[in-house]
Amino acid sequence: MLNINNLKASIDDKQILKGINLEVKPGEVHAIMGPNGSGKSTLSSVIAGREGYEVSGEVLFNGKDLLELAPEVRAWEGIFLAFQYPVEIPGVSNTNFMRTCINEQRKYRGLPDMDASTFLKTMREKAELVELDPNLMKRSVNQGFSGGEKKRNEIFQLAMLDPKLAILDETDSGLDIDALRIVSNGVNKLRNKDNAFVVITHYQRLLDYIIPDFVHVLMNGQIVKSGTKELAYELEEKGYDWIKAELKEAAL
Amino acid sequence: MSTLTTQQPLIDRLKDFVQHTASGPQEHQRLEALAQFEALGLPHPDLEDWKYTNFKGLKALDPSNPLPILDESTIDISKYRIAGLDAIELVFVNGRFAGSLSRPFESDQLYVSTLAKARNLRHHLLETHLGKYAQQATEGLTALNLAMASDGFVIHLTKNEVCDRPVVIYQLSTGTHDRGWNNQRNLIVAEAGSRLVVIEKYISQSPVFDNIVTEIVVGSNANVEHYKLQTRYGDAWQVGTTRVEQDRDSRYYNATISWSGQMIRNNLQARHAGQNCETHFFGLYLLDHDNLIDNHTLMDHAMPNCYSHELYKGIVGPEGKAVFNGKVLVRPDAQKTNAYQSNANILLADTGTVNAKPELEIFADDVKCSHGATVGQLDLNELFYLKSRGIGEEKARTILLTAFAGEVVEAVRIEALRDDLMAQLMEELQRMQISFE
Repeated sequence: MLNINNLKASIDDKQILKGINLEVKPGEVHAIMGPNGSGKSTLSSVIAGREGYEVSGEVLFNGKDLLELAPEVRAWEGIFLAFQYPVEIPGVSNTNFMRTCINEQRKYRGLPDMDASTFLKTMREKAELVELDPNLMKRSVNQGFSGGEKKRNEIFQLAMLDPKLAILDETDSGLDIDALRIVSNGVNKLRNKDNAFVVITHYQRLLDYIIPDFVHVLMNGQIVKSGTKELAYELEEKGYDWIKAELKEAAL
Repeated sequence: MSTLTTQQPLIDRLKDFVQHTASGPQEHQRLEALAQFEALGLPHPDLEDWKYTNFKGLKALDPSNPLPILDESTIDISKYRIAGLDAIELVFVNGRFAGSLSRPFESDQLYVSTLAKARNLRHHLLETHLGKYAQQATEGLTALNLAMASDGFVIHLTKNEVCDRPVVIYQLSTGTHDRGWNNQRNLIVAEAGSRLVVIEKYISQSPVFDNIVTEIVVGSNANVEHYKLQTRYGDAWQVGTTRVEQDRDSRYYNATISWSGQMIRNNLQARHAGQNCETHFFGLYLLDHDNLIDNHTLMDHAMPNCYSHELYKGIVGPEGKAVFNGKVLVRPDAQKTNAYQSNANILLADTGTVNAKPELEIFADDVKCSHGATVGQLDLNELFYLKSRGIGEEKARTILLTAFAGEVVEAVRIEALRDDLMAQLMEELQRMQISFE
């Protein structure tokens, strides 16, 4: 589904990604962990198409060269990024925002606009999935939402747009345990054999709820170690220094 | 008027004009105003208040030169009407009252008519209020307006009366390609405890220069809601001065919305003459292509315990020039004043200009005043967020701009007008987006 080959990215002449290789297949959940400043958020931004990066290498999504596509086309093709810091959009109601997103996607796929009753029914169902207060739908996107509500709103949008590949960028940061459980439950219910998730996190705790098939360690712009969920426990227990030591040893 | 000749110096010709068109105490007031104009002259960029806005072409125009008189039956006002709004309507075409197009109203409680008529029938009202609030001693064009204006609208609502229907004033200029000068003088008096909604709509198919002065008296505990729309104003110029005098416990609520017209200066001034007044100013301006919109506001807190709130927002495209000058004056007696002012601008291109100038002059020590002015571009984070959800660049920009400007349109309390403006706003923003590419 997703093939990343030797992906490099820099911003203002500062190289952040230094050759990433990653393959994600349908039905899989990949966790990417790493210390602050290792390039985790840059990786998600580059996949989603944020401007401002100098990018080289290859990102193929179901055979299409993602780097050639505008962010909205990537979204239509089935990429979704749950933002680490969801953006507040004053004046645009959640409902209108979602209606526009869905209908733009449908237009790309050659479908007519979703009819109003199906749309409202879907909204209700998906809001329930992440226990989001239906009253928030009338309010401006993320404006005045608590931290937890913003993150749940990201997963709600994910559920509405039903992407093939979802990237969760530190969705767990700043969430209390109840909100974390709600968000994780939502994600688990959305998992199926045809879609895939890349879960970027700082904390192993999230991976107790969203169980990954693979765990990758991103350090200094490269994936330096990959393993199964046990690797996450090891990182939680021992931190990242042992990996640095291992790398140093290997370099010698 | 036909006796005027162009060989005479301007001021003599204007004097002749006044003497030909006025009599009695009015003639005296108008000649006095003319003398004030003679001393003050036309605005020019050396004056601090006119630093950013230069009506260069004014000097070449004749302030007494009337616009063409048109056959009312050839004029269709229906396409400018606000759909679904049951209103009392006055229509002025080229500065002249168009009776057959209007739906005026006269009763003992409510008088919606013209200045020309009121000069004959409402002496007392005019003697008490006309020219008593606007600043003809310091503003040349205001003085000239008092001297020259032959017509305008007059609205008078008596004590404790509630006017259920909004009063809509249509100002249409049409029928000429020359820039003609139109002086119009308006008066609104809402007596104690009354309630009134007024909508002024400026429409131009001719490059008119409208010099408009409106005095508004809001009696104690009265409530006046006032909308000024310059949304279909073509290549017109305007200096429009609105001077509001508020008695105690009164509320005045204004929204000024401008997205057409070549050069516009709106002066909006409110003075609190009693305690516990509340004043709201909302403004929206969208412009590009060598157009200029200048909003000058004055919030004159002269008495204690009053509240004022100002929100002006603008979107400026290529070659557009916007000015916001917001003065909040808190006089020594105005303790416990609560004054808030905000001005936010989005520049769509680096050839656009915004001059934002908040001016707070505070002479009382126990007050809450705040102001903020921003000039920026569309937020790239917001734009990326929308795009990442599958909304294309152009649509995403339009959504964000509509949301930004929509905050002011949302402040319009008349539903039919708000819906009408919202629909037009989206069209206008799309036009700006397209012309931008």
